[in-house]
Amino acid sequence: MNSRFITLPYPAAFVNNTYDISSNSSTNTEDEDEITILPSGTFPRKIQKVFVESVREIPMFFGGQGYIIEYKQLAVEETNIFNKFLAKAVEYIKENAPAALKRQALPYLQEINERTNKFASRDFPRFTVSFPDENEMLIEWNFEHYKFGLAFDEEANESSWYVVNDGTIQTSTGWGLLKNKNPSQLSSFISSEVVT
Amino acid sequence: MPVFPETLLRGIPKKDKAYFDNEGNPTVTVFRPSEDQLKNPDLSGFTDISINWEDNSEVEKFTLETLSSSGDGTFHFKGGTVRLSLDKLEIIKNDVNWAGKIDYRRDDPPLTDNIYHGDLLLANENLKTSDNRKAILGRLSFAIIKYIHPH
Repeated sequence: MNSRFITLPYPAAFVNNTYDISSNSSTNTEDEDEITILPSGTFPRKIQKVFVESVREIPMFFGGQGYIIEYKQLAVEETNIFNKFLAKAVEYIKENAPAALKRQALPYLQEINERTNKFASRDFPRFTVSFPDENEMLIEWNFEHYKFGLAFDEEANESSWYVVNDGTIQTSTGWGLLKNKNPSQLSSFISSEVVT
Repeated sequence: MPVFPETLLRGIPKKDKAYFDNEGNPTVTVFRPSEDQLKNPDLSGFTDISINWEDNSEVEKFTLETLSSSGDGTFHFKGGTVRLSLDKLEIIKNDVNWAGKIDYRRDDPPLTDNIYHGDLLLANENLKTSDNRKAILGRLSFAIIKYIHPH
C-alpha cells in the first residue's frame, strides 16, 4: 500500500471519515474507514479505494489555511492517466503550436510530467489546450472546484499562470507572470497542491 | 428597476480550437474583452462584456441566431453560447478575492433591437496585465452552468 496525500478544503466535509470528492461520488458506509472515490470529469476513470488515516491543517501556498488528508491507497486499477493525457497534449502542441509558443510551453509540461508521474492521480482533471488567437496558447486543467492555467504568449514576458477557485473551497488563488516562476517552481506547486 | 432573471447568456463569437474537451469546456477566453477595450479602457473604471438576460426560453435561439455584422448572413456567435447562473455571479461578487471587481447590469431602458441586452462589468485594474486578466476571467468562468452549441 502506498501512502498518498490529497488536499481538501474543510474538515467539516468529513462524516465518519468519508468525503465526497465530486458530485458523482459514492461513499462506502459499510466500513467507516474506507471511502470510494468516483471522480467526475470527461475522462475515463477508475474507482480508487483508500483508507483515511488522518486530517491535519496546513498553511496554503498563497496564504490561508487548508487541510490535508493522509490516506493509504488500497487499489488503483490504472495509474498515471493524467500523464497519458499530458503526453497527448505535448504531442498535440508539438504538431500544432507556433514555434515561439512551443519553445515556451514544452519545458513547463515536461517538468510537470516528471513531477506528477510518480502519483496515481486521484482526480484526473479536465484538460484543455486552445489557441485563443495566433499569438497565444492556453493550457487549462479544469478541476471541479478550481482551475489551473498556463497562458503562453508570443511575447514571452506576457506569458502567465493562474489558479482560481469557485469560491466554495479555500484552496489557493493566485496568478503571476511565468518569467517570475521557472518550470521547476511551478511544477512543484502543481504536484503539491493541484494534482496530488 | 431592471429585472434580473436567474440565468444569462454570453455569446462566443469565435470558435476556439479546443482540444481534449469536445463539450465546449469554458476556458478563460469566453469573456475576453476586445483588443480595443483593452487598449482604450472605459473611464467608468469597468469594461463591459455583452450578455443577454434569459427572460424566457426564446432568448437562447435569439442569441444563437444573432446575425454577424459582416452582412454575409452568417450567425455572429460561431462558438455558441454559455449560460451563466446569477446565483453563481453573486457568489463571485461576494468572494473576498473579487469583491468590487465583477458586477453586472441591464440596459434600462432596453435597446430597441435587443431587449435582453446587458453587460458583465470587469474592473479595468484587473485587466491591465495578462496574468491578472486570466485570473479574473477564469474566476468568472465558474459562473458558467452550460455550454450551448452554435446553430
